[in-house]
Amino acid sequence: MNVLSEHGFRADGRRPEQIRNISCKLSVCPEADGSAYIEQGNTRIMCAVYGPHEATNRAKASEEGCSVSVQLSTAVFATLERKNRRRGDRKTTALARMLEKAFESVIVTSLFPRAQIDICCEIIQEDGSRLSSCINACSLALADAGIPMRGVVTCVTCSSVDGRPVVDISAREEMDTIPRLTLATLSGHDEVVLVEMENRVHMDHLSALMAASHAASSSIHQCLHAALQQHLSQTRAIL
Amino acid sequence: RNMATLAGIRVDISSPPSSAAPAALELSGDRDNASDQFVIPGNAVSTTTGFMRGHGTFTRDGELIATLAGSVQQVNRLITVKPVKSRYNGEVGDVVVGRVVDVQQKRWKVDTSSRLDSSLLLSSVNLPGGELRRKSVEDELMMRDYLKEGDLISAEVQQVQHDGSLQLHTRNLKYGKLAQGISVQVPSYLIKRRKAHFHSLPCGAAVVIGCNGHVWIAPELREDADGGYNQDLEEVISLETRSIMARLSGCVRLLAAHCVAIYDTTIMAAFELSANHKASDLLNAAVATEIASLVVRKIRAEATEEEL
Repeated sequence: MNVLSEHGFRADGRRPEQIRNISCKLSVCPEADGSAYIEQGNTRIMCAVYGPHEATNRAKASEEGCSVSVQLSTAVFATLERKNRRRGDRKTTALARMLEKAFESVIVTSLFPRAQIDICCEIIQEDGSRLSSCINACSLALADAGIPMRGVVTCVTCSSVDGRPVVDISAREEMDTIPRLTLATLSGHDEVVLVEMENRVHMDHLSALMAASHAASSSIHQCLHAALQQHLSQTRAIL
Repeated sequence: RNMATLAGIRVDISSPPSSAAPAALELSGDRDNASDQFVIPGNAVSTTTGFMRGHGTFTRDGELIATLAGSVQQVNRLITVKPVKSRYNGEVGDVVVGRVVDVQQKRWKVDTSSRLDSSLLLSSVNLPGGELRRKSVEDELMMRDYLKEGDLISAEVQQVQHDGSLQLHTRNLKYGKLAQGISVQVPSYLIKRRKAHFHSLPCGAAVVIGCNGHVWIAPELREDADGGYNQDLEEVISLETRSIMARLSGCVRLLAAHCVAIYDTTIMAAFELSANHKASDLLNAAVATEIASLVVRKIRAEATEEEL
């Protein structure tokens, strides 16, 4: 199967540089300090943030700043085949560690000594780019929780087909043995928070792929920005 | 950049269907379009130099950048970003309602939904036997008899430590252990700081509105000379009082769901305006929105009357 048709369209009718529709909602979980639900195409993520609160693990508590811990889980019904996943398998743990690292660098942790921030991410439906969708959901939830960050992180997974960058890939496109670059940037600018590369890409194609990822990430940032702005004006206390 | 320039990108804020309550008040025009400037983390707060960096901001290349999602506030040359929603930020003198989580040497650790657990020192509580009683070693050993893990207390913030944790005191007869009642937790930013946070409401029940977002609804306010450590959990509260308390808790919850500030006036207004409905109907989204909207209008009308 070709990722791009002869007319230059993708399986879901998008152009190569087009991201999927984003729809999101904030403060969906009243018990959490901040929460967000995001749909990117058919990928659906729910994220809840608890904290900063007193560190439960005394050994992890540091006077320098708070620690960030991420729990990532996938629903049984998230993919085409129904699958009971063990919690804490290697792949999910690796993704959770990457999320932790990315957000530890962005959150102003020095403000909260001896505290801890818990982020719980649930993949409700999986249709590709799950790491990037999780990062986007976490960014929204952290902003909703009023946790100070240097910026809103947005992330996108892109691929390169015959030297042509294809952004925000879906599960159907992920199946192929094509290179995948996951790039997270800060506030839609050039500052990179996380890069992850799967499979191999030709050196000559890399710069085009990076540029396309940056552009896609900054478009996603605009979507999240609009959603956050709208949410802020709605939840401000009346009277 | 304009959203229209991005071909094929759309922001739908449609699902999941729950918690559409804040938006409902928006539609009915109850939310005034105040000229607050909202920023999200990473947004430039001001490009001109000569400002002082306040909470919620940092500087990058001489530019003031927001670290929080909220409204920009300026006091002379100091610029701060006030988050719309955040965990409880304690101030000296605040009344808080919290739960004891740990008994340590000479202190109790209290969860006040602050960033760190607050501490209540043995030396800053009133023990049975009067204010001037000296705290002895026996008292230290008997600490668990006064307050143990899981107890709910009301207290006042005595001091804010440099790391942001709070030190509480209950050196007043109105503070102390809470006995029978309903605890409702709401986001702390909705609580309005007032002169009084203990109210005996005319409807026949009492509320303690903790600044940390814990609202305690009780049959009556007590001022026990023994510090309130003797709870009477056997006492049966009359059905009438219990239904009043249930209605009050419903009112507090609906005000919180619609992001209406919570203080004695709004709670009482919601209680009075909900008289036509059963207490259980307050859980109904349509009824809740109607009452919240009526409360906002009533308080606004009273405010304009006072101005005239």
